[in-house]
Amino acid sequence: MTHPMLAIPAALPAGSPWGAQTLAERASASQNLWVTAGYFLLAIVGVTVLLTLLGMVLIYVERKVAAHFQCRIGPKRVGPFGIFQTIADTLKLLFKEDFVPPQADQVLHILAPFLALLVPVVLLALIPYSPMTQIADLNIGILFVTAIGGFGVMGILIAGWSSNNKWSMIGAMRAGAQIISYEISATLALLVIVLFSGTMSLSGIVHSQSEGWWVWRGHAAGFTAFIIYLIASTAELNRTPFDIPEGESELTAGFHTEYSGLRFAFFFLAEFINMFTVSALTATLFLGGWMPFHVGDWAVLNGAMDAIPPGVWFLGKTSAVIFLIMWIRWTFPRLRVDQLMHLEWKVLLPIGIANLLIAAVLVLTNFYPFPH
Amino acid sequence: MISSAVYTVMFYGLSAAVILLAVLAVNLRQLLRAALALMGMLSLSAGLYVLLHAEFLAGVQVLVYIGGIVVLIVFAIMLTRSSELLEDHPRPLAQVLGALLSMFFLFVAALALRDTRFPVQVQTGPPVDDVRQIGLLLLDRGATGYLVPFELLSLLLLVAIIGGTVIARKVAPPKQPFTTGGDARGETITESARTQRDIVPGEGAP
Amino acid sequence: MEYIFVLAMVGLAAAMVGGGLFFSRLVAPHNPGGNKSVPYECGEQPIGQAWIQFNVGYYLFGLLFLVFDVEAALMYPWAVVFRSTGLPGLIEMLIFVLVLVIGLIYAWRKGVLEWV
Repeated sequence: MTHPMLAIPAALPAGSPWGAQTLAERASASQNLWVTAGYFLLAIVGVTVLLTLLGMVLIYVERKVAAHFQCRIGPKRVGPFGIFQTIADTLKLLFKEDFVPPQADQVLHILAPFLALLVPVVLLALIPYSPMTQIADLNIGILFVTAIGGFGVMGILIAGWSSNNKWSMIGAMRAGAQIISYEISATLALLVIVLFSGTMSLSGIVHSQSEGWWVWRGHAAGFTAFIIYLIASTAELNRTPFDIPEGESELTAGFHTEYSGLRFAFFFLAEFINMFTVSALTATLFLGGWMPFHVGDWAVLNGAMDAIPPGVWFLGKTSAVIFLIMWIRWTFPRLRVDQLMHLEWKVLLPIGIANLLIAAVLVLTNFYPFPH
Repeated sequence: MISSAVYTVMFYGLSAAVILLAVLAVNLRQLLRAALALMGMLSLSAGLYVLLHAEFLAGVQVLVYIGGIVVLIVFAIMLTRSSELLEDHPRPLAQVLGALLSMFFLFVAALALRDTRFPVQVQTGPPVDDVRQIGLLLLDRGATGYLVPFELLSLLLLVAIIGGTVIARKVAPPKQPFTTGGDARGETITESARTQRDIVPGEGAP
Repeated sequence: MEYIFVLAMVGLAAAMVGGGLFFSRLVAPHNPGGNKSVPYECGEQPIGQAWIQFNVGYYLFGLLFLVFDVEAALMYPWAVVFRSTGLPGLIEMLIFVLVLVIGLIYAWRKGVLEWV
């Protein structure tokens, strides 16, 4: 007897041209235990490979982009164009002493990197990369994505507290306050998308954008939500201009001051994978995910756009957002802590609430461009 | 192919872990470790909700309890002088009293569980969209709807904001400079920082 | 089934951290002690512990966040069903949000939103 929880979920809305199936659906649909186990293994190996590859590529790209913004060359010694620089760095960190300071809380000090790495690893499994490539699609998708961020906050707070170092402590408290503050604005922006699409499942949201991406189909409300989400998620990533939790000139390295070797590498990796997941989510929610670019009834253009595979669309959009976030980092100066709180609670939050209500009116009047 | 045996194993595994972590959360001497045990316990009970098909409830559990309440508890622990609490040991009388009290509550809970009849529903068809149902019920103005509790909830949240503001402002009025525990040196530093801030940019220091 | 895959990802994260640390323990040098045991404060001798009483401001912002977090949690089901409820749904949510906005304005006027 199959328990309801393990049954195949209801099919997608009829009439969608892309038949989508996640790995989890295929696994529960198969009648063979070995096939189910195979899908399981595929998911685990897939996420591991993706995590490693993304870490390598993103760190290299960040350094190259930063270098070119500052009229430097960036890494170029290890391998052609320096592409093996990240591998060399990782190996170096692996052979460094894994040192837990004696004044620290020994158990929590080791647990914190796990909590920090947990969030990006789970999120990688939820993102719809293409109609056929998604590991698990939860029907509370967006809510789960927001909720699981709480583990990341706890990871940072615990890392700072367990180090028993003043820099770590101040950095962790600042990071915690900053992340939870900006999470409200990010949530309000996400709610706009839930309003527009009427579903919380990530792949359902992508399907809802077949007539136009929400960033412009939702008029000013969609665009405002996009900007708010971009600002709020940059702040949640603790990246410049919101990097007072780890501002080098005042706090050394913030919450991971006392971390060395591989455990520092985990924090570093988590930070970069988080940048990818945030960009991927922005692309999925606002820029249509793997949906190709269509304009109304222009059949020729739409046909040409359909020729490009969905996975490439997804990667292209995500890379564009990643570049945008890097561009922001190397352009703006760091905010002061009171400016940071002012921006969130007195600017973004009122705008976010008003924007949500405007979006509700838009949905009510069914006022979309390019109607079908 | 996966039978309900998997479900049973998951249920008992999760339950055992929840109980273990709950006991740890009460008994650990280090406050932050206790908070972490609480976090684990709350997230695993979200797992129990998923087993019961209450996925939205599970999501809210993680969102509010882990992202909100446990973080708030950690901030509260930072407000205490937690390193001094470690040297503080409860008196034997308090320990006995606590044990008696918790035994009493266990007894009451066991009695209540024994005498309650649960309307057991066996769900057969495909899983229903619980978020949609919750939404419709929340906004339903009829006798079966929950619109009045929903609107009252906003009043409750308003009371929480006002209460928090009033209580916390007694501890620290907003004009008090930032210190890490009332040391005089920190205050003077902040004071000089404030006067520096008043300098109009462009004029500069001599 | 979807949630079992999510659970597997949690396990994967644990295995990565655990396995990585184990491997690093095998290959990396290990000799604790010396000046490494002193908390890093840019070469200064640390005065006292770091586990001290902290600014109450963090707690207040945490409390405010919690209120808006609960609000957001209640808004998700509203957003999902909004198409089928129409105008009454909008009015009901408007009342709900306005009460909270009053709270936000109160906190603003009382200077809670000021840092320092």
